[in-house]
Amino acid sequence: MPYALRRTAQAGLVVIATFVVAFLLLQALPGDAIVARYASPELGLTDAQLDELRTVYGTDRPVWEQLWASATGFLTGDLGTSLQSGAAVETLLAAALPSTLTLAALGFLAAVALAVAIAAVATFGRAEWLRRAFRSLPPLFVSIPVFWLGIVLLQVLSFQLGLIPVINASPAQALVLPVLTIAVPIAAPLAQVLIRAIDDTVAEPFIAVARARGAGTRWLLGREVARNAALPTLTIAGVLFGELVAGAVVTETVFARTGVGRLTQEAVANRDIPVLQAVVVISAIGFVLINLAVDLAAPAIDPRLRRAVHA
Amino acid sequence: MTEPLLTIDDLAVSYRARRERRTALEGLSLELGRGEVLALVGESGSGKSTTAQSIVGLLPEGGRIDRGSIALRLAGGPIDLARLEGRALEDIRGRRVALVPQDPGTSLNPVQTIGASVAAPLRIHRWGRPEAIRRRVVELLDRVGLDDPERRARQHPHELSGGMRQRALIAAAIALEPELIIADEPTSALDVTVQRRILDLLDDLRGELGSSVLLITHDLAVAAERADAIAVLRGGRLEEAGPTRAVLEQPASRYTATLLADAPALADESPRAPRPPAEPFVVVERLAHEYGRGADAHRAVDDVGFGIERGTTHALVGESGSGKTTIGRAVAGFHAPSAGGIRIGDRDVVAARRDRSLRRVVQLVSQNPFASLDPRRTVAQSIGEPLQNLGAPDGRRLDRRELASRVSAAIAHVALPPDAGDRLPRELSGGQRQRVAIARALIIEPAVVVLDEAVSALDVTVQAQILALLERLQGELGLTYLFITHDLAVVRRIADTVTVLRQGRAVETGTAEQVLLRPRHGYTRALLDAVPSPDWLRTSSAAGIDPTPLEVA
Amino acid sequence: MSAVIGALPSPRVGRARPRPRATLVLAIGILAIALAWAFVPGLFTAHDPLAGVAAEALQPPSPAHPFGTDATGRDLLARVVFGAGNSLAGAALAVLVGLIAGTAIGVLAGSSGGFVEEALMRVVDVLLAIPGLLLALSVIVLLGFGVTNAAIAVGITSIAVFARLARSQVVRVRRTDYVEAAFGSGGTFLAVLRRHVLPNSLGAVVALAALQFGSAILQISTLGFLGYGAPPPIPEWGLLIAESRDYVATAWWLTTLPGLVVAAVVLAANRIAAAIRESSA
Repeated sequence: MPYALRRTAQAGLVVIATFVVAFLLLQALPGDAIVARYASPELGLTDAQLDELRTVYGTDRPVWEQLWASATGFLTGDLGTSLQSGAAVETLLAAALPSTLTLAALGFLAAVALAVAIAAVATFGRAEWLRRAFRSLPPLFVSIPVFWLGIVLLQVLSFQLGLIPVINASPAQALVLPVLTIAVPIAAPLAQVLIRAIDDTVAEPFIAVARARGAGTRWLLGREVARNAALPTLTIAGVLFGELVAGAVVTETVFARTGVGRLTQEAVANRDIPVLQAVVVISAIGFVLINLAVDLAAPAIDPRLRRAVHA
Repeated sequence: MTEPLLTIDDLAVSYRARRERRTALEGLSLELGRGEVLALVGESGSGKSTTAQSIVGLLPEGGRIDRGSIALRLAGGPIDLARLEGRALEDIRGRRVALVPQDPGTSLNPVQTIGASVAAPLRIHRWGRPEAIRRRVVELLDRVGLDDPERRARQHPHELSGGMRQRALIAAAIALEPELIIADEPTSALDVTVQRRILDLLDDLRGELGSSVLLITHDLAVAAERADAIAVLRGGRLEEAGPTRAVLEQPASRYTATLLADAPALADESPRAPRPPAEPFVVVERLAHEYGRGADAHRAVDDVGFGIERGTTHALVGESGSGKTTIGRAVAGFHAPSAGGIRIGDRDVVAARRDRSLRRVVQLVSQNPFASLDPRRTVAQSIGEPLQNLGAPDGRRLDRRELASRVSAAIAHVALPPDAGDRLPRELSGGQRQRVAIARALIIEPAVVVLDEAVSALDVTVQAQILALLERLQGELGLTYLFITHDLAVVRRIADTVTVLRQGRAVETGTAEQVLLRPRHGYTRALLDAVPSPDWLRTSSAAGIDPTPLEVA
Repeated sequence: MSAVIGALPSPRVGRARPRPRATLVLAIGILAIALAWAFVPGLFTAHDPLAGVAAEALQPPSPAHPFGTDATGRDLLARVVFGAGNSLAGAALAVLVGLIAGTAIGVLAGSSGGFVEEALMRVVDVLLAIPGLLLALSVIVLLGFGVTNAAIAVGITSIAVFARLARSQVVRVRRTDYVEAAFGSGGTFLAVLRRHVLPNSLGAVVALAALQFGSAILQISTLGFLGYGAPPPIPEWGLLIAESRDYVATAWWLTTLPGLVVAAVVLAANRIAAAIRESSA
């Protein structure tokens, strides 16, 4: 079987397995989601009303039937109904997605810029103290609680320096702090991998050979190092995606922004399982697709992988 | 008399190691004439690579030139390379001084085409327009003997063999017709027959371009064959220097004499005399091995057979891909061959492969003693392991005291210092580690030992010591050796019988005397011719004075 | 950029030269203090972490209250000191869950190979596919809120990382010449596993455990911040910061100081992890 096909099939399997695991974990195992959500005395629902709710949500049917219904629903774009608001999950997600995508995309770009800058100074900085200082930034960044960083940025930039208005901010102004907050936890691992990849490449004998041919720093960076360091960096794309999802949950909570992250946080607080399941499965699909894309694109960057691909 | 191209005067280089500075070169002075080849010879740690790195200004981080000068005399006047920096240095590199690196496997950028790598010096030094550079690259690849240069230019390094990669690297080095070519162990990673062709190519190009060559090598035979002058380095100091023939025929230093005596290719020895034929103890019959399945299957060994008499040494000789290691591992019972039989005495090795008692009969010593010793276990633990696993040679379980005494006896047997038992592998030298590997193989008193390139990674003086140790142990214990090597010169020293392998097939089998002195097959002759040795040395003896016995490595 | 980007430094002789010991000593000191807070908090503060003095509400740092006081007049340092127990115990539990389950899966997969390895690693793929925070949230929904449940949830998210590392280490060591040589000297599978494979594989796993300790502190505090960990008024580092969000504009110390403590402890754990990795490599 060709590599691309085999790899795609494997990705499909992981998605299916994740769907089943998420379903069993969230819907089948906790017993009766309806009881958990609606049986509290203060709601005062009768048993007959609870039964009716079970029929509405389909939880009175056997597990495999529910799984099948849930799976076919996912394939047709029907992600179920929110226990909390009663709205269709796909509607809730569609409403929340644009804001989160904007935040994530800008945060990712900012992170890449930050990581490349840190890695460049950490590896090619003029003075040793400068390189050392920048090398210690990624470990520092991964040690900072993201939610705390958001609050401190708000405190310093908005309240003390007054650079960004807290109330009546324009949409662009309202994005600055969340984007900065989400960029830091993504820039840290990215910079770390970049620095290590550049270090490894620079230690390769072919770099010494290129220098012996008279290559200067710009030639070495642009033509010898960049492409060799790109591959190890790409392999953490999936990890970064996970950081982005976590970052969205935390950042949207800190800055009280609407979005998928906020939706997730509320779903957990209210045990709104259909919403949480949809977010989990969609995130897993995103993770798997990103890794699939990286694996399929890798041979374009490293010709040594092409032979394995054709074999 | 014309001035030399390169004059190194009182060069001292040191490295920062932990908190102190360690000297790598101490007051080195050398001269290299125009159009000449100067060989810089020395064992590992002698400072020969440091010399090359100092000339091109590529000392590793922490390295520093403490004093001295490196004068390169170009048309515009002399330049001191020891003081050159930045742009001025970059301008010299690749254009006036070029490097042919040691390991063609890692010296080409893996994600660039061969064409791009060869074009790099031309583009860096703005040699011409892109179209002209493209034509020049093809011309260069053609000149260094690559077939179909247009296609080679579009290929990537992993699609080429080691010899072809080294040719591409030479093409890049000569692209700008430099005055000085530094060849840093240019052939030590290559097969012997390829090594000869690459050295021939370098010779031709030097004649054509009139460049001078600084040839850095650990192999005195290569130096003897190729260089006009030789400089011998030891521990960062110049041991002696002079015209090749003078140095080799009348070495002024005892160290040089030892090197000469230990270099198997230069030794004036005849092969071991044949013994009267006897019943073979180890029998390999119609052995075949395939890797992979179906269309991907690759036949690594094809219908190979030989016998080894008890107490003798049989050498399996071949280049990379000849299948010699596959055969050795099958004889040692590490994997089952696809077809064929292996017997040791009356034991069927193939059938008993998973039987642990087979380990009492045959042991393997592999090429890299550093990799084959667990880095976290002491020498004594490693050597005692077979006894722990299998008990004493007679099968008895050993208590702690007896185990310890047998381990110290084994340590003494291979001439390791008595306190070596408490050390870790990283605290030992390469030669000492190989002694540990040998002690471990022998402690269980096997009848047969498979030695897979067991001395190939060692410096010549250490190599000679280990070979002497193996010969002594064979005499004392009546061991039977299967000796796997690519080096015919070593075969001459140790083997009774020889099988020459090529691409999985045995091209010739016979006594060492017959195979080495009267080869029947053309490939054997090619291998023998590839052993470097200057013509004048084949008739005269090199041993002018007695070699110094060196301390045990 | 060109002002700071200079010439290419030469490649290092030995890789990653040892970093200064001073930072390691500092890291060990910080972690020791945090552990002391967790075990004997009473030694470090005379104040009650739960009961406040209303008259002393929202005081900035002073000699009497080095970290200041919160809205109900509780001493912030006392709350941070007493919170160490919850946060560190939770992190330790999380690491233990991930270390034991993940290493077991990884060593089993790496040493058995074949179908067992395939099956185990696909399970690991599923665990990896769900972003860590979402997996932790799913487990919390399943188990309910609370410090212990949050710790278990964080531990479960690290199983995949431990399993992958343990497996790759075992596979790497199994391919080494010295393991082959050990079989060649008559070793049985279990003897070789015990003598060579495990000691040479687990150094990296221990380093990862130290790294995960720091990251577990962060993740547990994140869950606490989101409100799924310890219920108020129990002092927990994430919750401390969450509770003070309303006073961002007026009382900077309430968020800043606990956050700095968390960052310092996590940084210390990471530094120690790096030291373990260097010494075991």
